[in-house]
Amino acid sequence: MFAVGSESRIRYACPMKNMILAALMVVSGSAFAGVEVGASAPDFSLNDLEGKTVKLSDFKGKTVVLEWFNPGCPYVKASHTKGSLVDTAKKQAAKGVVWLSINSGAEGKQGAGVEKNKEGVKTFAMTNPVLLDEKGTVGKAYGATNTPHLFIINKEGKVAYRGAPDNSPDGEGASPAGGTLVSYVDTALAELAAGKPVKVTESKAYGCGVKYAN
Amino acid sequence: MRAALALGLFAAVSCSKEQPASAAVAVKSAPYQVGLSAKGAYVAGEPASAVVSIVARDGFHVNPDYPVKFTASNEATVRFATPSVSLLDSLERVPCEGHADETCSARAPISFSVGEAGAASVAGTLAFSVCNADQCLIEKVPLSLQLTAAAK
Repeated sequence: MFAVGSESRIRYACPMKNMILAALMVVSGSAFAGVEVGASAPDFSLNDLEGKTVKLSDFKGKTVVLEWFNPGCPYVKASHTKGSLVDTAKKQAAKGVVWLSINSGAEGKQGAGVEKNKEGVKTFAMTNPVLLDEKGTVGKAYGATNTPHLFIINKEGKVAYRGAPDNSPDGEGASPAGGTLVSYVDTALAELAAGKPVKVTESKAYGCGVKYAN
Repeated sequence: MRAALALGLFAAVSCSKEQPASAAVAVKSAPYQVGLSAKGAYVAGEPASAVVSIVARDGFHVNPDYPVKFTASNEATVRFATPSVSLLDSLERVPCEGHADETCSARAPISFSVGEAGAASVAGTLAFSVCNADQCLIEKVPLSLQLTAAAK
């Protein structure tokens, strides 16, 4: 699956680079395929907006949600103000789930930097940490292509779900495929909490492209 | 250039956002133009249609994943089968020049019927998204089309 956001097209001015990229995509299926469902979640260490270091390995034995985030992206805004991410992190945190938002936008890009993310935290009334990944290392390791793009890591440290928050690619929850809004994330987390296998383990991410440096 | 070509394909006519018209809506400085155009003759009581169009410009393209939707407004004098019409699957797409994997313009028919002979208007809001490398926009633009339906 190559769930690249519509604005995240990777372009190179140099024809040779294009040829190399095309060859890589044929071989790997994507420019950066990222972690597969069922694979071990790559560990990382990133700073939050207060400069505190947060490591994924600190949460060993817990269910963790990674939400790729960009406060300037209208899909993120819609998801956090109208759609299925409204208060979802808070509700899940109350159930013991660790929710980490990650911004892989490079310095100078839309929604990047401490101040813009602090504004986003305030606007969306977020209580979970927002981690900055300006080099994009973690985003690319996971294969995060969009904002929002969600990855659920089970208590065993394996990726249990990756994809969109829901089946409504307008972000608002107003245009669900099939007519009924389904929160893939809530559903997967409920299944994990009940000790059941996750039925929908993957979906096509929608939204803005992650604003990587290149 | 790409947008200009696409505009030519749709033969759209620009007007300000405030003017309800049977043509296109070009929001000044916006990287898109949208329109609602008449299609064929209108007869009271008969199935009818109009064409919604989206043209991305200034390096933007139409977001292929966004659920493009036309939602009829209450004051419309025509009848739709459903108040909100999903256009995502019915969009006829024109690729961007030099970027065949991107859509620079798209259009789709919307179906309705005119209740009575005489002047009528099709009105509603078009929801769509356009993107470039730096940003996406989610837009909801009011559109209207004035038409005259003949007696059956």
